[in-house]
Amino acid sequence: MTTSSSGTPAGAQTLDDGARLQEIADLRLNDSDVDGILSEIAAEAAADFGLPVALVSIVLDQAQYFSGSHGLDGWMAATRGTPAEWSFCQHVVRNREPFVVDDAQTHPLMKDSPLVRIEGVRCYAGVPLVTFRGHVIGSFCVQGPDARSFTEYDLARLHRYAKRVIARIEQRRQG
Amino acid sequence: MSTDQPSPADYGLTLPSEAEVIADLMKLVGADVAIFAWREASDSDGDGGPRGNPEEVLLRIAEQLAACPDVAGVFGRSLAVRVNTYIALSTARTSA
Repeated sequence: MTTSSSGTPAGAQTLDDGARLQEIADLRLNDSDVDGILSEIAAEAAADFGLPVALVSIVLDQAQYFSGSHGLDGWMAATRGTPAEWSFCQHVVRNREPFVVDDAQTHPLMKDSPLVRIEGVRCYAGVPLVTFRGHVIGSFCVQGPDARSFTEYDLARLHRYAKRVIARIEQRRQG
Repeated sequence: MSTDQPSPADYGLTLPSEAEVIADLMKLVGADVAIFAWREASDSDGDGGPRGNPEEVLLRIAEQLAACPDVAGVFGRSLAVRVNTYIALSTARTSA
C-alpha cells in the first residue's frame, strides 16, 4: 500500500482545535498515569504485526503523548512523547484518516523528521482514535525500523485495536 | 564529552522562553492562573532561593499546568513533553 495521506484535504483540522482539546481534557488524557490495559493492547498489536513498537498516541496541541505503549526505549520511553511536528500521528489527526508510510526515508512528509533521520523509524501505520462524541484525539499505530507494505486487512486489524482502545478510554469519562 | 551524540539542535528542537510561555498562558487560561503557575514554579520550595536552570523552571510550570482538569492541563502536558524531550536529549549528549 502506498501512502494514504500525502496532503491536507479540505476539512482537515488543526491540532489546537478547542473542542478537540476540551475532549482530551474531559477524558483526562493529560494525566501522568500510565494505563496498563492500553499498553497491553499495544503489546498485542505489536506481536500481531511482528513489529517492535505500538503506541496509543494522544496528539495534544504541540506534542504527542503516549497513554499506552509497547517497545519504546531510550529517551522516548522516559518522556512518553515527542514534539507533535516530528510525529507520524499528527497526520492521522489532521486528516482524520489512516496514515500509512511504507518507507519513511522516501516519504515527503516524514523523511526529514528526527524520528526518521535519527531514531530510525522506517515504516508506520496508524488509524484515528475517534471518541463517541466524534473527536479524533490521537492515533493507534504500529511502527518499525524496516520498510514494509501494509494492506487493507492490516488497517482493518488496526481499526479493531483502536475500537478497544476507545472503549477503554471512554470509561474515563464516566469514572 | 562526545559530539557524536545528537543534540536538541540536531533534532531542530528549541524551547520557548519563560516570557513566551507566560504570554501564551495568559491568552489561554487568563492572567491569574498564568501568574500563579509561574510564581509557584519560580520558587518551588518557597524559600526565595535559586530558581534553577530555565528548563527546570519551564518544566515546573508545565507540570503545574498539566495537573489542571481542563484545557490548561492539555497545554501543560504538551509543554512538559517538549521540555522533557529537550532535557533528555541534552542529558544524553553530555553523558555520552
